Amino acid sequence: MNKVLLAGFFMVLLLQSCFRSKECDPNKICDTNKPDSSWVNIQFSATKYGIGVPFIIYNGDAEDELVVLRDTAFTDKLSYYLPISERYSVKAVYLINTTANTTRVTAYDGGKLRLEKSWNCDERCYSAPDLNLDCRLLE
Amino acid sequence: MRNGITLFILLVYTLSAGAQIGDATINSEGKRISFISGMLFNNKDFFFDFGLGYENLTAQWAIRLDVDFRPFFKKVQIKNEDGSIDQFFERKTLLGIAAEKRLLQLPVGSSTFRFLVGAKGGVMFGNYRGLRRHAEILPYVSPYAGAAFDIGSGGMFKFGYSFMDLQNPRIPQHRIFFGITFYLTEL
Repeated sequence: MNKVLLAGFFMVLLLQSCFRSKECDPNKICDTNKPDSSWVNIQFSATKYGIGVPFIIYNGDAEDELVVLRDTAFTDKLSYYLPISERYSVKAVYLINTTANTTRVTAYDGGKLRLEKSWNCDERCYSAPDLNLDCRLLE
Repeated sequence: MRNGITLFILLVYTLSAGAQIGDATINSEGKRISFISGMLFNNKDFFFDFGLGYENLTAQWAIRLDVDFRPFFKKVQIKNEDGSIDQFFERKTLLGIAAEKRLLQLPVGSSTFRFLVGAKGGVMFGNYRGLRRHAEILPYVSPYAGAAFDIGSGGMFKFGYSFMDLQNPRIPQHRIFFGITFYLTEL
């Protein structure tokens, strides 16, 4: 009996998220304009190794090879304003010179640039948080 | 995805707790179906552990189907045959069978303390963020040892040391584990 009640409680919690919230906070910032783009921030280890890091941003997974742009990073962070509700991945190539040889390290990361929706005072609010991708090399 | 996992864990814990409350008069001996939930960790990694299996409380041994998974993407590096290195964000899952034997029985207050030894074996697989490519499916064996305390008559709390080689030299193989076994249906 306890199990049924608890399962029911969680079902109610799950279903609740599907319906419009009665919450109303007039001080809450609510952007009713649906954004079409947001920032993709990519971190690199360029300055640590003193090298330029060529990289490619793909739409979808890297294997899909739908190239959005190619660039070279000379700083540790770059940002691009890209269409939302899309998945992006990045491939960055480091050529690290040691006394003996050159090691090629390829760093991958990816994620979705999401559109977040909420209700406030019967208004639809939109936000598009940045997508942070990490191509910094492990220590 | 993360919210889904959190909700799932919460649900499983709650249902298990519900089972405990409902079965307060349960016999702590005999053969039971058991459910285990726990975690394994070291300073560089963290895994959740869930299992469902058979528990012989008279002979103090258990066997179960076990799933361990890292609930987040971890930055890992893999060295290729040509000497180059690929760096990914990896989520790892281990699926296997665990067998466990509890030894010595020492009454501690109202509880009972036992040493335990066991091993898990199976396959590990994983996926990478931003790639369709999956991690190579590899076999694993993970021995563990520790101690267990009865929690009333409805389960036991376990903790100890676990050796888990993810075949990545950058991730330490030594882990601490905590787990709670919930006794479910009596057989």
